[in-house]
Amino acid sequence: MGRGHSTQWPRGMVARGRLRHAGWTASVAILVFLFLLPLLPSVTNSTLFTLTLMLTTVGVAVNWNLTGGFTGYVDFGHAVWFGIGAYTTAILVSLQSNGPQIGWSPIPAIGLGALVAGLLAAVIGRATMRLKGPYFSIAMLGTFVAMREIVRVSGITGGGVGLTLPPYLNRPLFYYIQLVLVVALVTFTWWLRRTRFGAALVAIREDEIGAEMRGIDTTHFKVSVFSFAGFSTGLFGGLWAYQNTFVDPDIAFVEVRTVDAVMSTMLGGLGTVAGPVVGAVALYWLREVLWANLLDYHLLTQGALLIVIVLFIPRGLVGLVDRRGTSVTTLWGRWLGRGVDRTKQEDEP
Amino acid sequence: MTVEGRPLLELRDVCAGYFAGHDIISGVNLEVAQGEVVCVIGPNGAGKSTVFKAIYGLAQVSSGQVLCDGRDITNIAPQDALRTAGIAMVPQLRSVFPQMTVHENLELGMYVERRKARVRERVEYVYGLFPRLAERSRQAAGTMSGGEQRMLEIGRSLMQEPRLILMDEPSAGLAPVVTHLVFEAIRRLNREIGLTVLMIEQNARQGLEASHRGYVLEMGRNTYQGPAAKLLTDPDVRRSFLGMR
Repeated sequence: MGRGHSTQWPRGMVARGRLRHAGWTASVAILVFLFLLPLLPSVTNSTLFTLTLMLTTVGVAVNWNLTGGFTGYVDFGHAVWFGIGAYTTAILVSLQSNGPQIGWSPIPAIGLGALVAGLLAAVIGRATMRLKGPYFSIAMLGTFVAMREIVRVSGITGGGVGLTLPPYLNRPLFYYIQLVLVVALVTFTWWLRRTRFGAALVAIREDEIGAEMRGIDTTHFKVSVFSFAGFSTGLFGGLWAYQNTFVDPDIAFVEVRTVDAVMSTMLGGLGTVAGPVVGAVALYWLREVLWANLLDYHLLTQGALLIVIVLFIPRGLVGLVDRRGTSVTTLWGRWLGRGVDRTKQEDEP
Repeated sequence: MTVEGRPLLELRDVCAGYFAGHDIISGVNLEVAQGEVVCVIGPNGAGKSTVFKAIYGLAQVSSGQVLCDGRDITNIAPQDALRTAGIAMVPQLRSVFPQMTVHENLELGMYVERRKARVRERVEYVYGLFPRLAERSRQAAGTMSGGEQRMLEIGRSLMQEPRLILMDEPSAGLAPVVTHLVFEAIRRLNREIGLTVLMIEQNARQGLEASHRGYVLEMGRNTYQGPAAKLLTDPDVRRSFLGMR
């Protein structure tokens, strides 16, 4: 990494280094456990399905973090790529009598679904990513809502009734596919952050004009990562559609999927590699607990949790250990301050 | 004025501004020789920043010439100013990437360079000049003091081996107790590596004290010029710009 000069580490950093080491060990242990899990006799298909859905949330959160956490473009419509992946897969696979009856096998269908999502993200991102801060967020929310309505009125998508897919319910297979995908995705993010490309993304978040002044083609970088995130979320969308065996506009395009990704990333740590994973798992677990114990108040509690994160752990759970990410409050400030003059600067002693 | 013939940077009767027909500076003459530190002082609105922008191609030069090493670079494209003319700019506002490490900030100073070994070599070179930055290489740049951040900005601008650095108010936004550190660093870099600097300063006295020569800019043209020591003692300059009666 080119940091070959001797340095005296402050004590806090040593402690943090140890914690990070413990984090690595724990991750490997958990991973081994997750890979062996389906072999346990007590694990039922329904448990595996729950875990697979959790992996979906993790994957989407990791993708959201690429634009929201690294590049600082807070995307409020990320679930649109999930829906597009899901619908493309459904259209290609479904044999429903009023549908197009193309009858592809699932793997190419899911792959093409992801590609369509990625391409659309490249096209739409090229337009929306010219906008900064809240304008971008709202444009993406608009894209999401518009796409849902387009799907609702189109013929090929089965309209508001939706499409039914032929059932294929090998839960362990999908569990493994998604587990491998999530591991690959996190590894990719980890690697990305260490490349010039990753540094450029963070530089865009920190100071887009400054990044441009250093010779970084910001449009190219942010649209590329946005399009990759669209592709990857589309992949999870396709996998989900196939497992769910049914899509309609209101279950394929759900705001909650975006909200979950945003909340997971904030809870875990914006702009960190492990953040969205830790956050999504924590959120999932918390929601199960709340659902079981506080059915009437679970949304209220979730909202309260969001406030607590912003107030007390703005860097998220992982951010307590790894300072390389960013905090909600900083991102929030920049998000709102985009395009506002920055001549006011604090004086330091 | 210059020791060895041709100056590194020369402005000849430069008029420049942002809209056609509305020049901010009207007839600025200025020279910077290799290895010199030159300071431009003047009241607010005199056109100091516009002089820099005219050099860097960010303001439109309507008449006159900007020469770099004898070559005409009038109205150069900003992206070529560093690449082909070797002129780097350290802007007035704080410009480090606050949540990236010191090391990453330096690497970004040379983003267009693809050879990793070359980047590493330059980073080590800057660490040699600013040991403080080496100590803090893995710290988020925004958590350093204002003076250290300024050092980082200067270090970052050195990454591409510029021949000349333009500094727009190096002391801006800093606490008075640390401004002298910045000027000291400029003087030291000039002594040690022969760095050529053209700076604008509101803090006229400290700016001139760190420089070889100075120019006074008023109402879009330069009115006084000379060795810094002389400007510092000139009664008119003292009265008008150094706050002394």
